[in-house]
Order: sequence, then C-alpha cells, then structure tokens
Amino acid sequence: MDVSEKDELRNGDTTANYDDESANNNNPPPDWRVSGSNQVSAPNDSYPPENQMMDSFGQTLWYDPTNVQAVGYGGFNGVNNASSSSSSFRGNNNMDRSLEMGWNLLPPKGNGMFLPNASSFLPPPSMAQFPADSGFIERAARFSLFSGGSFSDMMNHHHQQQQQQQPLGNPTESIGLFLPSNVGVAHNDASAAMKESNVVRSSEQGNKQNVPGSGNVSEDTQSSGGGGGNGQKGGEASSKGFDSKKRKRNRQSSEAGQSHRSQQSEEEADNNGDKKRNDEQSPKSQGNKTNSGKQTSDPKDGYIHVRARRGQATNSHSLAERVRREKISERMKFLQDLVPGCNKVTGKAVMLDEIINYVQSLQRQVEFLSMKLATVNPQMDFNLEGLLAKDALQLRAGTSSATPFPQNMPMVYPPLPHGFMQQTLSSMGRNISSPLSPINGGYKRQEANGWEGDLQNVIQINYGAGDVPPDSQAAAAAAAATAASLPSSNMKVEP
Amino acid sequence: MQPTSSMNKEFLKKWQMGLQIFRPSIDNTSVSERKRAIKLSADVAMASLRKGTTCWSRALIQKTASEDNFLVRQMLSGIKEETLINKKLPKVMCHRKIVRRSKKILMRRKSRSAMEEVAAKAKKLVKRKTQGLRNAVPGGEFMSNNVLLIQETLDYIVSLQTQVNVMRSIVDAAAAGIER
Repeated sequence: MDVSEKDELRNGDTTANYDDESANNNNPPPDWRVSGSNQVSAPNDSYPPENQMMDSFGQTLWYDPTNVQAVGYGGFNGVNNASSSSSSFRGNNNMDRSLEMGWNLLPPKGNGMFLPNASSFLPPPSMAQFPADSGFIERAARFSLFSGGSFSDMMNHHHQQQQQQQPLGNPTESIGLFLPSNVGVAHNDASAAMKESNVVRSSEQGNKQNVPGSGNVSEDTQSSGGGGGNGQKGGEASSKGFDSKKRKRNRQSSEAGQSHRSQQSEEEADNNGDKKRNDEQSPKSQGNKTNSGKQTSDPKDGYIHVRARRGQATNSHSLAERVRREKISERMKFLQDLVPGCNKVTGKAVMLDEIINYVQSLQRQVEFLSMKLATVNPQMDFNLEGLLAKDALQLRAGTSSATPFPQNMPMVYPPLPHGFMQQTLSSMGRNISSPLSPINGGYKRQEANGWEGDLQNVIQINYGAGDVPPDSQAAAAAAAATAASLPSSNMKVEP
Repeated sequence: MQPTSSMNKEFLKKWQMGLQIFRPSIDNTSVSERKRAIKLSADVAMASLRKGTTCWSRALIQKTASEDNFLVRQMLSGIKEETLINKKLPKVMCHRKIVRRSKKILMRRKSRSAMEEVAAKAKKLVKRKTQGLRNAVPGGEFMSNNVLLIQETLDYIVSLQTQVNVMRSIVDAAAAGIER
C-alpha cells in the first residue's frame, strides 16, 4: 500500500533513531503495568488486562508511534451538531465508539493525540450500538483534549455513564491512567524518545490542565524541565529526538455532511527546545467552548494542528497532503472490515477494486430482490410479511449481513425458484416459462460480453466447473443459482 | 460495523410507508412496473434513514425525485428542502486526447527513475479506481475529495447491507408463506 510503503520509508529515513521503535511498541505496556500503579489515583482495576488489548489494537492500527496527528475531526462537525435526529445520534455513537477505539490505540503508542485521528472515522453510519448522548460526546471530546476538570473525575463520570453500554467501556479507564503512567515511565526510561515526547506533551498538558494525581504535579515539573532540556539535546539524550513540529490550521465547516478542508497551514518555527504541544480541536464547536483548560494558542475558530514528523518536509502542502493521506488510509482500514475478503488485500488500488465490486454486487442484489418481490407478490401486500419478518430481522441482524452475492445464492435460493416460477405461472397466467425469459428476450445482447463474463465468474466461484447454460430453466440448484444470478446481471442492463 | 436490528426495523417501516403509496395504483401489473415501485420505495427509505446528512443519500433522493416526485415528497415530509440539495462541483471539460498528449510529454521531460515510474503508474491506477468508485456510489461526482468519498462509501455500504438484509428476509418470508 502506498501509505505503508511511505511509512516505512519514513522510518528508514530516520535510521538509528527509530531502531527500537518496534521494541518500543511492545515495551510500553509492561512498563505501564509497572509504573502505572504508582501514580494514578484513578481506579485502575481493569488497567493491566487492557494493555494487551490496547497493544494488539496498537499493533494493527498504529503504524508510526511518533506520528503525532492532531488531525481529524474532519467533516463531522455538521453531523455531530445535528444531534437531535436519531441518525446523527447514531452518528454520534459511532464517534464515541471510534473515539474509544482511538483511546485504545493510544496507550501502546504513547501518543495522546492519536485519538482524534482514529476517531474521525464515520459519524453517519451507525456502527455502534449504544445510545450515546451528546453529553458523552462532549466528555469524550474533553478526554482527547486533556482539559476540563480532573482527569479521574472525567474518567469516573464517564465510566458510570457508560457502564451499561459498551464493551469497550473499560479501556477508557486505562486512558485516564495513560498520561500519568507515561509521565512516570518517561521519567524512568529516558531512552525512549517516544515516551519522552509523550512526557513533554503530557506534562505540558498536565501543566495546562491540572491533571489530577498528586504524583503528576511533581512529575510534570520534573519531566517538563527534563523534557525541555532533552528537547534541546534532541538525539543526544535519547535515541530519538523530538520531531520538528509545525502547526497546520484548518477551518472547520459547520455544515452538515461537509468534510474538513484544509485551507492553509501555518508554519511555526518550532525548535526542539521549545515546548511542543499537540493542540487538539474538538470538531464540535460546543466542545471548543466548553473546554476550559485548553492550550492558550488554540484558537476558538476550530483549527486543527498537525505536526511534521522528524525528517519530513515542513512544507505546508506536503503536510496537508500527508494528513489527507492518513485520513484516507484510516478510512480504508475501516472499509477492510466492512468489505468481506479485504483483510489480505493490501494496496489502495486492489482494495478500491474490491470495494467497487462489493458495492456493485450489493446494488445488483437489491435489484434482484426487488424483482423477486415483485413477482412473488403481485398484490404487493407485504404487511403480513412485515410482521413475520420482524422476527426474521431480529435473527438476521445478529448474523452476518449481505455476504458476497455468488456465495449466497446457492444456499438461499434453491427452494425459491420453484415457488417463484409456479407463482408467476399461476398468478400471471401468461405463457412465461420463467420470469427470466422475457427479460432475456427484452434485452438484446448489448451487454452480452460483460454479462457472460459475470456469469462465468459467478459459476467459477460457486462450482469450479463452468458448464452451466446461460438460460436457466432447470430446477437444479446449479441452475437455480445461475437463474438467481442471471436476473441480477440482467438488471444491470436495465436503465 | 454491521447493520443493527434497529436500522433494519426503521428501514422496513419506511419501506412499508413507501409501498403504501404505490398500492392504490395496483394497476401496474407488469412485473417491471412493480419492481420499479419496490425498488424506488426501498431506495428512498434507505436514503431517508440518513436524513440528508450524507451526500449519497441526497443524491439518491434527487435521482428518485426525478422519477417519482410524489413518493419522495410524501416520505420525506419532515426534511427540509435545502439539506437535500447537493452542491454540484464545477466540472472542467477536458479534451481527453489533448490532456493525454500533454501528460505524455510531461512524463518524457521529467527525469525517470524506476521508483518514480512505478509510483506514477500506481497513482494512475488509484485514480482510475476512485473514478470507478465515484460512478458506483450515488452522488459520487459531488464528493470533492477522496476522504469524503471513502466516508460516504462506508456509509453507503452499511445502508445497502441493511436494505439487502431486510429485502431478503421479506422475500424469504413471502416465499415461505406461499409454499404453505
């Protein structure tokens, strides 16, 4: 995949500094466990077991631990603002869920700012199943911004409200522990620049936002001093230096459904010795206003700040491009989960191909199903079935959703064509031997080539033997499957 | 990220609503007429689930409105008109041959390295695929950047899955009812 290749290039560029990056990926969890208990006053019962989960999450989704992106609440402002309607309600749910996922990712990689990046997936699709409220979103947004009251208070509050809801509720507790633990960790282990950078960040945020925990305060001051000193030395003190950072600002649109556009990026001379801060912006303007303890440089008009990685061009355009690329790759990852059979596929082009095929197959399925419904039920009287189907729907929702078209056909539809054809014969009283033939006759072979190709593919996928006649009238399962697939292919022709 | 049962139910409800509108005109006895009615109402139901928040839903509604305004208006009575309008992107009319020729010249002028060529080809391929995706997703032409495109695709896929699930279960129920 382009993005992954470039990531590796980047990693390679920074050579020795990033040698133990992978090691760092694995190290933090054990370190946390060690040091996490020392400092945090927040409840951390579930903390140790969460590390593995977060670690695994981090492994899969985080490709560059030092990649600090404060990006990402993309175009969800409008969507999230429309919290009154149920659909955006669910959108908020998704935001919450992905927020939590993002939080899961954060600790292993020691980057507190990854949250918005991971969370900016999908507000509209109601992927999550819990009924969140906008208050929760606000709190979650506050999380990401490390602002607004004490961290543990937020954690507790959040946890209470969310207890009944998500399976991922627990990891949020660990998030509360993330900062303090990292502070301690970095303090202990100065060799890991990642932690150090976290220390700097967290310390600064702690300074700004009064992160609770008695240990934190002292840690903050110490680590901030240490961090500042380390920052200047850069690669000397630790194997990894701080990234040269630069801020990029985006204006957020408040219209519903509009995505985020990056208009300009500001360059800030940000030396290694300077304080580095990842400013996060909540996509919601409400979140902006309510986050009291924000960094002072955070403008209220909704900028998103991005930092350039070490060794990267700090050109505004390239930065914007990189942000965009990463957004895209995140979403592609989501798509991988959604589209069946995309896990092994890497590379944008192939994945896009799969996605296109899947969308088209779904559309064809819809056509076919509607045709079937039209023939099965001439009166279009679906009320009774609606009641009946509700139970079926309950069952179906749990099972996997629309699987790829060819695989399904033989299983589901063999019994149907019988009744299908008989119904049409009896009710319509026409001399239609099969519902397919008028369609067959109606369309000239304009699309014959593609159609045949489609059919071939279907057959190959299903049976491995391609010896089925195109016009299916037989009641055999094979023929039924092809019959099922035929109208769908034919549907494509229909304007 | 699978469609939830609540989504299924909502879709079913809206779909029934749409079908009610078509039921009086039962004289559309031809299969294709009925199929068109079913599909239209299903599409509008699916799009209305999003209530104008996503680009594809608006585009789908626009497409349906061109065929059957009455249905659309009935089903989407609660939604304002402004939200339903997509801002059309300015379409630059390019003469393809000229563009291709100039691109070839540019490529020749640039210094070639193996990696560059590969990257360029990969980019071309990706561009072509994204164009294909734009054609597949309703309203793809209105999505100005790839990020939005992929977001919309995700949402669209989830909605399509809902639609397919509900329709399939109804078909099964209908078939089961008939065979009894």
